[in-house]
Amino acid sequence: MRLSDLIQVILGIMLALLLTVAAYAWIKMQGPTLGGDFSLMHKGQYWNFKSNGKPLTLLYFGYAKCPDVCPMALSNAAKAFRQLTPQELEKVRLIFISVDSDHETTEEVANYATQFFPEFIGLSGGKSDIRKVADLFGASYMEEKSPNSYLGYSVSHTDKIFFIDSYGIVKDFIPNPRSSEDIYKKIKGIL
Amino acid sequence: MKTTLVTVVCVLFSIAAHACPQHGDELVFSDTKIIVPIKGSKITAAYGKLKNGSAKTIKMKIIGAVGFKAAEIHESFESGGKMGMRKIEEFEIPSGESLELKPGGFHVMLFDPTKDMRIGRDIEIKFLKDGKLITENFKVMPRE
Repeated sequence: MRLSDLIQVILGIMLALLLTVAAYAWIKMQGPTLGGDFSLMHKGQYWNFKSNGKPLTLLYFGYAKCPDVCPMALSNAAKAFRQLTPQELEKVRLIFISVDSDHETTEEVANYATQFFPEFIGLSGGKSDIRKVADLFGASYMEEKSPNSYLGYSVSHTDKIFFIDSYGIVKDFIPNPRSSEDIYKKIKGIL
Repeated sequence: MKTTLVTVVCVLFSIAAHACPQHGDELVFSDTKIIVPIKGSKITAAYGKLKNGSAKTIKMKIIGAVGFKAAEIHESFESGGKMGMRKIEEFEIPSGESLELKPGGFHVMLFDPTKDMRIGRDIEIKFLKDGKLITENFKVMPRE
């Protein structure tokens, strides 16, 4: 091998290393990707996210017996949806996932979601399926026994509205506190 | 005639004094409302403001609500990135201060309605104020 060839090989290796380091740094700067495709149950039927794809989905984890935090989130989202045009509504939807499969049926969850906005979708499923979906989006929840309360338990849960694309990838989120205007602006910004 | 006039004035003053909340009232409720339960749901919340106009701290407990099987005070709180709730047995309102029952904070939780909770209906909620029974009407209202 001639010296010039050797230099070219070394330069090639150095360039490849440099590109690898740059790509790694870029990925680190982007942060971990959250989300993905998932399947749960809707009114007793299997429901797949990608098969029902829309350009933008708002995703919220909660439970239908939650009297305070969840209704506030869904109510504010519904207010934001009511400000959208019919054309915008074609591109966006909200999915409410109940993390309380022990106490809530898929029918109850689906009906609960539509009370806030007719097109809202309420999903539930088996315990392990719900856990997998929550993990996919970095959401967490925990049932806590409350023997001195009439209900006997409560569920603490992540209180974020995730904004996800048609592949289920999280593009953004809004934590609490948030107003309907915050949600509306975020939808408009992403659409 | 003079006696009659004095009597009328006294009665009118008395009625006015009872009808209007006065500065210095021990406990004044305002903006009280019950969010109409979602169809199919057996749980809802009540909100409002409680102002302690007295010279001492008031201790409050909730006893129940007419038309619901149970009523409790709960507090929403954030911990470890999650929102949770816990039952509060008793709460205090210091002299001259207010406590707001609001979404995301202290609120009344109402369980299992036993009658139709239609919008506009007044529901009596029972409290113990320093151990004495008091009642306050909360109006059933739509969620905003």
